[in-house]
Amino acid sequence: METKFKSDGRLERVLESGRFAVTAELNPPDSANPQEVYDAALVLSSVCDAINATDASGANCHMSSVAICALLTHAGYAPVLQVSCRDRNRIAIQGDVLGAAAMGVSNVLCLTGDDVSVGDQPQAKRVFDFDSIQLLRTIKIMRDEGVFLSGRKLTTPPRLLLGAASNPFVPPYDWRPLRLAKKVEAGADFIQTQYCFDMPRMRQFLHQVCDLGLDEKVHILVGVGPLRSEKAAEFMRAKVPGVVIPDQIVDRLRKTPKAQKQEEGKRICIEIIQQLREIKCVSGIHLMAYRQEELVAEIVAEAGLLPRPMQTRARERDPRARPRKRKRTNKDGENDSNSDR
Amino acid sequence: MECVWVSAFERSQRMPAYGSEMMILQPPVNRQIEGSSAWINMLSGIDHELPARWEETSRDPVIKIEDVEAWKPNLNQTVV
Repeated sequence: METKFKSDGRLERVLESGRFAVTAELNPPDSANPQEVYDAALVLSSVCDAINATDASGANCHMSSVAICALLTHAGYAPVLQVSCRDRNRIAIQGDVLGAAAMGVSNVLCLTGDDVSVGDQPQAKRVFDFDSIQLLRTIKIMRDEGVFLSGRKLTTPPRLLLGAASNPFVPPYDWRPLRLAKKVEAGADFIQTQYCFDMPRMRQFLHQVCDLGLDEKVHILVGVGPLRSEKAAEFMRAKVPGVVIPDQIVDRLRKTPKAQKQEEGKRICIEIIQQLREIKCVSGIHLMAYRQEELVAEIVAEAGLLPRPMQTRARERDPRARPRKRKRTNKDGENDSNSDR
Repeated sequence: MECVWVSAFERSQRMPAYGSEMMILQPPVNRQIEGSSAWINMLSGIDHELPARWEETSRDPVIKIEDVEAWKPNLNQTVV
């Protein structure tokens, strides 16, 4: 039995081997159909080492992270369970973590979570029983000491690689590496950052991280993604919490002919990845291609990050899945596309 | 609305003696004492009671931030 590794997952092995890792974010469906998860995962699985299942990101409701992870592990994929503290208390979270590990989840990303006020249901109650640092430490206690936070013993502890988020792009900048140090002390094995569009700021952050010696304790995966157009960039930096896009990036897209804007957004993303690959303390990238999943494979390929280590087993389609769209019929037996919503 | 941790960080820069306490891993909050007197809880020691396994973790700062080179200039700055 391997005792060197904390998890049974592929991501940890890729990171420990020193290979440049690639994780990607799966956009969760607003649907009860598992096939939509499989369709989204199929695009990502052959070009990344783990797939992040977001947990109501931006405080917007979608299929749950733990359910997506159940579907993905069942189909042989390697998910990262994202856990937000916004919607569940410590009892629910510890139970979810055990259940996820039992289903084969090997990676957990611990997040405090965006406030409900930024989502589409701002009337919802906030939980925030934990913050991300307390969550990290609690799961580390479960994994390493084999007990719940209360001290009650686990018969089988979860084997998990623990992740945390970091945003180097929002002031106060001097606080960012120090907060990262707290997350590492709390138990983080890997870090996934917010979207990186500002390389000078990222270099400054990484310099501070290295000064603190954190690069030797944690694997840093930098968040990257393609911008569809300058309008998408303007929307993201105005509406998505924590996203900072420099004016020069927006101007570059604005000056690009309309038909080539998406390609230019992809080019910018690849250029950033190529710069990141030259930085020693960067262990990989975390690709977030919201509504542009079709570009992920192209970006990974054109950035020279293929081949990835092969998946052991991955089923393209769940035989029990329902068709994605069902035709509705009215009482006369005719198709009715204008039925109730 | 500014993040409470950002406010705490900026204000801690004016506290060289206690600034490092920003680097303590804060234990989970005891929700049982929500709505009761913080002063009484402090004096009676109730607010020092921690979840069983958390007690075994260190309560020392992760890093003494006054020792961090990047932090030093900030100790002498006055936050406007």
